[in-house]
Amino acid sequence: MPNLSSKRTSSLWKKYHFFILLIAAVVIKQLPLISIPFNWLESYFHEISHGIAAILTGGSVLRIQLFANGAGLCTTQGGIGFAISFAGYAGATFWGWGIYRLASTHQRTAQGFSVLIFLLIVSSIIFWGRDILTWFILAVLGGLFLLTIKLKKLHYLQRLMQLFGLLILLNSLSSPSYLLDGRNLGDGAALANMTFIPEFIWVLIWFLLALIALYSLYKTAKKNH
Amino acid sequence: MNISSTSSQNSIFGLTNQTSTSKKPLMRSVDPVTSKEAQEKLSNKQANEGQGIVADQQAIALFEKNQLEANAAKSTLNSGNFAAANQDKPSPKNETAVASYQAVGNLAQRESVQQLFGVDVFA
Repeated sequence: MPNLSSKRTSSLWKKYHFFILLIAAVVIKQLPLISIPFNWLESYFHEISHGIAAILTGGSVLRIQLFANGAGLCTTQGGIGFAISFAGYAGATFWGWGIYRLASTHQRTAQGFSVLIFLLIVSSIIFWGRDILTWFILAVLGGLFLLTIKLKKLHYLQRLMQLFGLLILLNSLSSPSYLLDGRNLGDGAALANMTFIPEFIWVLIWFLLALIALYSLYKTAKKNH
Repeated sequence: MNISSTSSQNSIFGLTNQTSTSKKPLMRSVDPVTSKEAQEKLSNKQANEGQGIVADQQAIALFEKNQLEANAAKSTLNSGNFAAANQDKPSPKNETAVASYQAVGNLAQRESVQQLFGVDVFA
């Protein structure tokens, strides 16, 4: 009987693991203290996306600042302003989607990718962090990924990475809506100034991108099982 | 240095003139002179013949002029040296070089300031 029960549980997990992880991510996002490092996670990937876009378009990153409330700033020099502005939310979505997808492919891939993210965080501490709070936040995030690398059972590492991916994706789904505060500040306002396309259009584009990414993950999960 | 040496030559030249006049042989009469009148006659005669101390007015004027010029040149040179020692003022050529050098430095500084302010902040 216990064997049958575990088989049923395993089958349920295989069938609905995407939704289970999604519900877990939604619940974690609502928890007051536990949600904080995951907000930092989305904030970090948002800012690092600005930075990567700046580097890819010929600019450079001078500083990355992260705040306890989940806000962040990326100071860049040169590069294409449009690409850098757009890359923040779009990049966070891409990171969330990528982490989930790579973690789903293979346990070793998940581990390797976790190591890469850990190294990226360490590089950020060294090259772009300039204040104690940012260093602390980045150290916490680094510790989080170090924890996943140290996990003995790679299966858990895989699930944890998938959870991180979904948390980042959920954050990038909801974050652009914060821009619609009528203050004309942030990436949406910057893009509106550059292109004369209203800010809410950009917010809509980012929201749709995150939604498409989430749907893509759901489709992949459904196809695999 | 040139001015100084020239002025010293002039002064020597002036002195030489004076010396040449004073070096003329002083002829004293060995004959016994009895009357005052005779003494005056003798002195006039000696003067007319070019004997005794004869002061050439032109030579004195030239000497004085040279002396004045020499003194003026010397004082100018001294005051110039004093100013240079006090202020350590570089020559105009050096000043131009320093200004050019500083201009290049300022350009680099200006560029770095422009770069400092030419940053974008993304939230």
